[in-house]
Amino acid sequence: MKTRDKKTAMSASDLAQMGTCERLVFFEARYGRRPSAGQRQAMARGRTEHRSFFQDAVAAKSGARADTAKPWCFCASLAWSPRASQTRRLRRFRGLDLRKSAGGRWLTRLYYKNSTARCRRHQRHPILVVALRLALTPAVWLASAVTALRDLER
Amino acid sequence: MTRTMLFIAIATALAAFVVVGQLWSARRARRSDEDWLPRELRNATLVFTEKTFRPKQTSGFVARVDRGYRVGGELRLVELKTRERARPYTSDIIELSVQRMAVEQQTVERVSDVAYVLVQDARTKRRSVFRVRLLSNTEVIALARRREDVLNGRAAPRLAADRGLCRDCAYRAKCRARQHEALPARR
Repeated sequence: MKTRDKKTAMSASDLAQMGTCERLVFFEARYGRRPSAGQRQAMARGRTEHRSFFQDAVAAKSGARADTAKPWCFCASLAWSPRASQTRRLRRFRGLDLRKSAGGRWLTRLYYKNSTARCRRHQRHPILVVALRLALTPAVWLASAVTALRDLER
Repeated sequence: MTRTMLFIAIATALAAFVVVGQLWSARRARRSDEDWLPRELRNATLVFTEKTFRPKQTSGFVARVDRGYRVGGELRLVELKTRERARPYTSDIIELSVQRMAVEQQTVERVSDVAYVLVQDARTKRRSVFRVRLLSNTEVIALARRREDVLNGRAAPRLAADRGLCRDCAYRAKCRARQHEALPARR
């Protein structure tokens, strides 16, 4: 049986499980967690929906405090998709290059302050999404060039 | 031949109608972010989202809050759940109650004992929001002590109130074998 460090803080979800089944709390502490395939699927679905919920919150109020990293490039995610190569390149550029300089960090703050609300309005008009894609393309080229140069230097 | 073509055309039109109807319905269900907000939160300020609150001491509660809104000088918490049944569970109330304690311990803000469980249908993505009243700090601490007693063998764990949960439980066989030790579910 796993020995529990008495000094460890208790999580809200751990205690919440007491409202589901105390027997399960006991067995899981003794033998470990064993979610079924359906339960694992439900958990994965829950994580996806929480991510969307978080992105909606940031779009609605970019100044809200959060521990999770801002939803990468919200505008790029809208123009292409969150997993598109263009979005990944911009995210990488923001994380590895912009973040390292005061100017880059200022630019990032300006972006999150102004662009998420604009992108949210764009969402309702497909033509604006296309325009956004065209406007961001030079930024993607720049990001690719900078990261390629950095990789070359290494 | 003409009859067959007519049948195909009608079947295609019906299929298209069903598909378009489903797409329109799903789009409406996901509308804008504010549509699910209850009336009392419409003018509230979103203060934090996906924020973890850890205690200053090693003991205490740690909680990750989905959303916190400020209204009328206090914070109100929102928890998102994705499930098939559109209703809040006891576990949601416990979770939100612990979140309230964690937020109060770490910040100087007053957190309301009224919170919201936002249930999103797993299939249709339709959202329903439920207003719940949270447990008091005394009740949360008592529950935490009971959990400790259950884990340390000082108290016999109760059976689940909803026996439907047992269907998919990996410990069903073990639980049955030790059922004589269990207390009945709390009503």
